[in-house]
Amino acid sequence: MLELGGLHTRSRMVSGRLTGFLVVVALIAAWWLAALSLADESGKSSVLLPSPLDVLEAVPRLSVFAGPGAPLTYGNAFKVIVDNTLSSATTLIGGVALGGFLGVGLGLALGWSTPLRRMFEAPFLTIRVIPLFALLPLFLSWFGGARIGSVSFVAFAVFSMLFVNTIEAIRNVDPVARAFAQTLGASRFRVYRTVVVPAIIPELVGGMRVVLGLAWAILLAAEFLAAQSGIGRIMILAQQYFDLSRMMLIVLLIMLYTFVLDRLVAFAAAHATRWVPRT
Amino acid sequence: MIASGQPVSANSSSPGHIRLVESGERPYISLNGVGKTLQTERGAEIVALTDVSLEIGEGVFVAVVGPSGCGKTTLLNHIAGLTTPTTGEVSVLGRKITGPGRERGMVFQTDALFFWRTVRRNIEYGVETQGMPRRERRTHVDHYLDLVGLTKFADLYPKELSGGMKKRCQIATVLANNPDVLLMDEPFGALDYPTKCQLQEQLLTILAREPKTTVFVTHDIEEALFLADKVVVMANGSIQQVVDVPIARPRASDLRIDVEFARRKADLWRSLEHWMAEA
Repeated sequence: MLELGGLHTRSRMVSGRLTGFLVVVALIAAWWLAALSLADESGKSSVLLPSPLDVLEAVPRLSVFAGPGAPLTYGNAFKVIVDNTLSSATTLIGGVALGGFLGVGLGLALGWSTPLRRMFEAPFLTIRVIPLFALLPLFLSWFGGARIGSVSFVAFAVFSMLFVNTIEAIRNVDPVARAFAQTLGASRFRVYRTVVVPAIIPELVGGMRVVLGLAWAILLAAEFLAAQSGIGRIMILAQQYFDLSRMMLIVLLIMLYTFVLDRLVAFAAAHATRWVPRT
Repeated sequence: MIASGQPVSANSSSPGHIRLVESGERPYISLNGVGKTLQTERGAEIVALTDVSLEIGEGVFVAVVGPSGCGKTTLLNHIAGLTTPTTGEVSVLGRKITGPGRERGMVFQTDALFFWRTVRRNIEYGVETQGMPRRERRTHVDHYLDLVGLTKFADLYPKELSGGMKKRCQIATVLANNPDVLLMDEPFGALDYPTKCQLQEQLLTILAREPKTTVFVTHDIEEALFLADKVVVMANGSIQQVVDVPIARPRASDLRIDVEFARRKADLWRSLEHWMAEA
């Protein structure tokens, strides 16, 4: 019975993936057809809608971002992609780590201490409501294009989300589990460490999926406006050349990274929630 | 000592001092004039317990029955130390209870399990808190896994267990912590009848091997009579009657269809009905 169910699910998963793949192929075909229909008599694509082939041909042109006078080669283009990806990744990881540490840390502290909660909960919950992008000019004025600027902006966004997430998750911990640990002889601190903390992890990891998506968007926005390097930076440079093939190439790259990032978090979430009872 | 089968006092709110202790023996658990008044969110006062005085001797199995809202769970929470009395005091071997402690283990009505730990890790929670070394813990937990028949399921998460197995896991967790007092709050209430009967018999077998002073709250009069030495009937926040069950433990499952047992059930049912009408 169980095995049958397993096989059934697996074949369903395979057919699901196949459908997904076919849809992607269909979308690319539709894009290509649209580009062809807008092309002029000689077959040259419209500036506004390059075809998939134009986008592939734009790869070597990424070399210009390697520095003035850099020859247009695949090698240089690859270097541009790697350098700017590493730059964005560093900012993202730095911001998420800093914001996550502060957000979860403060949430845990407030969950532990009632006086702290009385003092800090309301002001910090208000921060959550501020539209983040409204604060971007302020961060730019403080930090200019320095990396610390985009890192703190991403950290701020992650902090405000994970702080609320942590407080909520602590509230959802089953009071009976706490009482049970107490009757087994656990001290207040031990109950916190061995019951509250493990119990909130699935909710936090689930929240991370949303948080990382947002952090990635925020990072790109910060890079559009100020950064010296990064994927968002080369996107804005490509826009200045009005080279839509290159811009779409970068968009494809961003889509790929978003997909990989989401898969990674989904994988971590599946692991973190492996014990959670289905209700 | 109160005569068995007789109402303590028909219309009094103060049923006097009840001793479930062999003559000459020191009481193990004593409640002295315990009263508890709860406050609702709207500020109304609810009297949960009124002047309860009860002494329980070592090794006695006491079942507490009564209509819902009669204060039986509140009584248990007082012995567990999860609630503090408004008046009077609770003590174990003369020591006043001020909070939960490992010598008073409690089996909760709901699935009080550490869902993020495997069955084995659940059962070892108490002794781990007590600081028992890892190797010793292993053999210790093996014994309790065997005692409740969960050896084959040691490495599963609780979500993978059936309702009855979850309950056995919780009981093993409490017993592995080696408490002197076993408190049980409608532990088998949510289980189907055959599973319930099986667990009742297993509980008596376990207690024959490792005797504990037990207070068992239930709304099931058959369960109360099958398990307990003394059945305490509560209504309106106080003890109304004590019924003696002079049958040696452990008891065989045949007892359930015994004519004399049926008569006891009928008697208990009639007095419960009486107290429900009073309430």
